[in-house]
Order: sequence, then C-alpha cells, then structure tokens
Amino acid sequence: MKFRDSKSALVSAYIEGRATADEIRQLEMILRAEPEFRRLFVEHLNVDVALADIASREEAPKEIQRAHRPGYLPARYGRWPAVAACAMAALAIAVWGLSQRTTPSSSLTTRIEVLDISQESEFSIGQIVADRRISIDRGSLSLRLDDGPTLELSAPADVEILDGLHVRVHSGGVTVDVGEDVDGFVLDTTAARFVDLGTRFAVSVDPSAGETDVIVLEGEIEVNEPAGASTASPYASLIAGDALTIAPNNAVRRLAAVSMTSRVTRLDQVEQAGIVTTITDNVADPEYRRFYGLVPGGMREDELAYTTIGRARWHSAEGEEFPAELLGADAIRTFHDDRRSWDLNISIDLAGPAAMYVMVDARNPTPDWLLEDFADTGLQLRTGPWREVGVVEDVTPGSDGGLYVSYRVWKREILAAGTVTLGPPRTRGQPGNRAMYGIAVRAM
Amino acid sequence: MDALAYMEDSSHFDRQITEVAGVLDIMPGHDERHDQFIRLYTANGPAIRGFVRSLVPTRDDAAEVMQDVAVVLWRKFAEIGEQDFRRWAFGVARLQVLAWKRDKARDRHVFRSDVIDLIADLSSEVSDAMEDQREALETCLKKLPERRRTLVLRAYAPGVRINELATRIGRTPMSLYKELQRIREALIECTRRLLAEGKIA
Repeated sequence: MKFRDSKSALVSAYIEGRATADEIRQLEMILRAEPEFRRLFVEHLNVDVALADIASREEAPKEIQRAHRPGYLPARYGRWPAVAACAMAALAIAVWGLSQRTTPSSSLTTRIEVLDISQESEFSIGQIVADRRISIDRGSLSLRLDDGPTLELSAPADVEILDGLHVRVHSGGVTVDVGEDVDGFVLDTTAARFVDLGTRFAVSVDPSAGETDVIVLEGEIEVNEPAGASTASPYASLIAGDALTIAPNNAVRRLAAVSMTSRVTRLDQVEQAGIVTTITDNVADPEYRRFYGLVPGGMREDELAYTTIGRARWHSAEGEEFPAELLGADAIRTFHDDRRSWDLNISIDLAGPAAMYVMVDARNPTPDWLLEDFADTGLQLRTGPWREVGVVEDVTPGSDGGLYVSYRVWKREILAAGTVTLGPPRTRGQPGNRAMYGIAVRAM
Repeated sequence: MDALAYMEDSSHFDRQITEVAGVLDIMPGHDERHDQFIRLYTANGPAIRGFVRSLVPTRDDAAEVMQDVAVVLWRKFAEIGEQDFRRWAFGVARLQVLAWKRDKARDRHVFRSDVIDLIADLSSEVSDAMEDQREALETCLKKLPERRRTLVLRAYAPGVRINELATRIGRTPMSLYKELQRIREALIECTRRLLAEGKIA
C-alpha cells in the first residue's frame, strides 16, 4: 500500500523538517485516527534513519579521486541537469587532454615486477617485465604494478598492462588485489569495464563466447559497459560475495557456484573436479548475485566461513583443537545474508560417496530437516571474531576479548553419487538474529 | 579488548561513537560492564535512533536527544538486571523525548504527548520488523539505478543541506525533495517485497 499523495507529502515534509505547525497538527490527527498510517509513518522514519546511517558510512573522497582517473568519468553524472553536466563535461575534457599527454609515457614507465611463479615458468621471481602484453600457457604468475595492485594470472591467460592502474584481460583468469590505498583501478574485457572501489576481485574471460565471469572477494566494484561502447554507464555495483557472468550486450546472469583455489573460477570449469560438482539453490530472483564458494581442503583454523563477510573465520571450540574429523574437508562458504531465510534450499551435487557436515548456530533450535537426515556429531566449532552486530548481541566475549558464535556439527553419510538438498537455516516465526550455517564435505 | 579499542575497531559506527563519546568521558575506567554496555549500545543503536527519530521532528533533534539518551543509559545501566536491553533503552529514550519536549513547550512543531505515546508504543512493538526492514534496505539500495542511489546517499550524507545540494546540482530544492520522497517510497516498497518473499526475514 502507498500513502495517498497528501499524506505522503505530509510525511515527507515531516521527515525533511519542513512541516509547518498546521501540518504537524494535521499529521497528529491522522496518526491518532489511523493505526495503519501510524505503522507506515514509523516505517518511513525508520528508513530515514537507516539511510542517514548508510550515507555516513560512504566514503566521498573516493568519488573525487576516481573522477580524476584518466579515461574514467562516472556516468552517473551523465543524465544530470545542465549545470552539473557542463561541469563534468569540462572536467572530462581536461582529464581526457591530460590522459592523451601522459598515457604513452605512463605505459612505458609502468614497473611490472614478478612476485611469484609456479614451476616451469619462463619468468623468475623479482624479474622486471619489459613487455606490456603478457601471456602464460601453464601454471600461474603473480605480478605487481608500480608497487601497487597485484595480478595473479592463471594459465592460460593473456593480459595487457596499459598502465599501473589499467589492464586489459584478453583471455583467461586473473585475480586482482588492488589494496586499500589505491583507487580507480580499471580492468577491461570485451564484455565489460570493471572499476575497482578498493577491493580484491577475479575475472575469467572466455574470448570464444565473448563472456566474462567476475567474482568479488572483498570490497566493491562497478560494472560498466565495455570500453568503446557508446556510453560508459556503470550498470551494476557488486560487493563481496557477488558473482556474475557477463555476456555480450550486457546480458548478465548469476554465477552461483565458484571454486576458490589459487584460480578463482566457476565451479563447472574446474579441470580436476572434486567430490562436489555443483552447488545451486532455489532463489529465483533474477537480480540475486550471491555465490557459494567451494574451497577444497578449506576446513581448517582461520579459514573464512562466508563469501560475504571478511572477518568471520572458522575456529576450534575455545581451548580445544580443530576437530580432526573436519580438518582438511572441502568447505562450502555460504553467504550470511541467508541466515534469516525460511524457504531456502541449497542443493549440492556429489560425484561419489561422501560425508557431509552442516555447522549450525548452537543457539538455534535444530531444523526438522537436519533432525531427519543428519546426526549430531557432538563436535563444536566457532566463527569470529565478529563485529558487534546483531548476530552476536547476546554473545559473551571469548578469552581473547573477541566475539565468537558457536556451532554444533551435524553429519550425514551419503553412499553414492547424487544430489543432497539442505533446508532453510531457520523456521518461520523463529525469533532472534542468528548465524547462517556452514557446510563441509569429505569424500569417503 | 577494552572499550576504546572496541570503538576504534568498529569504525563504521561513526554515529554511535559520536553519541557515546560523552559517555566515555564520564566513565571512570574501562571494565567489563563498560565493554558490555558499549557492545549492547552499538548493536541496538540503529533501533534506538529509529525510535527517537519517529518521535521528534528533525534529524538534528534526534541527534540532540540521542546524546542525552546515551548518557542516561550508561548511568542507569547497572540497574538493568535481566531486562531486555532494547526494550529498556526504548523506555529511557521515550522519557528523554518527553523531557526534550518540555524544553520545547512553545514549539508547535513537536507532537503532543498522546501522539508521542501512540508512536512510541508502536515503535516498541515493531522494533524487530524495523530491524528486518533496515537489513532489507541495504539490498534495495543496491538495486536502485546508480543515479538515484548516488543522489539519495549524497542527500543523506552528514551535514548536507538539501537547499545547498540542490544548488550544487542545478535543481530546485522542491524538485529534489520530491525526488527523494519518490526514492524513499520505492525503497520502502522494495523492502516490503523482499520481506514478504522471505528474502530477508
């Protein structure tokens, strides 16, 4: 339901501090008379406060810095009114002129240092690479540009370094770690231009299909139309835990399952498939972008627990060793947003017999689907340390002062290849803000 | 981790830090109770601010009341016993709003006490739902077209005045107010849809 226009205008005037005394009296009359309107009023004020909270977290200086990067003009200004458009156009012309003068020498002077190699590489650690176009057909290669961003190439890969803040990936997989101190890094593929907002992300380019997979591991990136397109509008903003496949003409689809080895790539393209072959869920929203991350051997102390949270890591129960039964099992990172869902189903395809473990917030009542198919191992794990957010509101700090959520570990043995479907983390009406469950799998 | 280190670590809770800054000044030392208070206050800060904001006319008024609320909460924290912190904090905030209202006795822009009571009762009742809405809002904000998202965040950035922002971007204040109203309504519709579909709660 929406407010009628007059009521809506009244509430807006109140929210913005513009309401006259007479309007306040009118508002009071409606608030007294209409319980439903009271609820809507509280909702509007709640959103008002939340928006102010979110806006206060935004970092305005980044916008300013990025707008000065050669070749990047935030297209969000493109449709603004004349004054702003003229100002931004003037800035664009100035920036363009500057970039025309500086790009050639910048390209020539960009220092490309080899940080690490896999075996049998034609490169050596510490080598300064002279070529701007770098291809590898085996192994991996780690490069650092001008003491700033690092690129992890996974063969086969073909990358062109345009300058210290601008690369083009022609094919293959590249993981970029831009770091917190660098802003405005741009990565081009045939399908899209990615503008980094201080982050770590991976792309995988399939030139034959013209598609690019992009997976955000930390921070945030903007997805723009590819370089040379008639417009350069950012049409999507991705944050940690998001993954997309971008086809020609900006057609995008969710990339739901990702393998998170040294090469971060879609799960169905992993050369040596493990026990988990596919992870899907029943989320139908076409705009949903969250991904599950499969980490082979990833169940160990201090490994990340979720794809969406950079702080919460797996730990043994306080004062205990990490359970041997779980150590080295394949970890499936879920996304923490799902913790409140009561209709989620996660389906995991297994290539053969396996033990599957589900780690459930110990404060939660055990879901029926878990009671039916799984057995309580008696093992416990923790995640943390968490920020002081709702999920740890009633948690007592651990011995190190950090806040940790405890999990009970449930197990099911699956005797043949097939699909296992897990249910929602909570039941309808269940109160409280609890952690999303984790998943681990070990071949038997 | 002592309370100050904790506050520094929670860098995105700028508002809580501002509100609690006065409390830290009056705290005699950093003990367990101190840390527990800050943890609870930070976790419940958005809900308390939303509660106060629904009872006073402007964001500046809400910020003013919140400073007093934080101080009173800390002073009376020892008395809370086993009570639910949020429910207790709402009770304290309600009294602080009424005290603030007494100071503004001649100001006709402030709701009368019976309306404040009605809204305060409802706000307490629906505080869990409002927490869900705030969570859904984060998702909905990401779904907004980039230009609208940027605009609303610029308009809500600390210290921004709509008249000045309108001038800077070449618009009239009224057209900007109307667009912000449309954006808020779109966001609320989106949060309701997400919550109804069970995507958040």
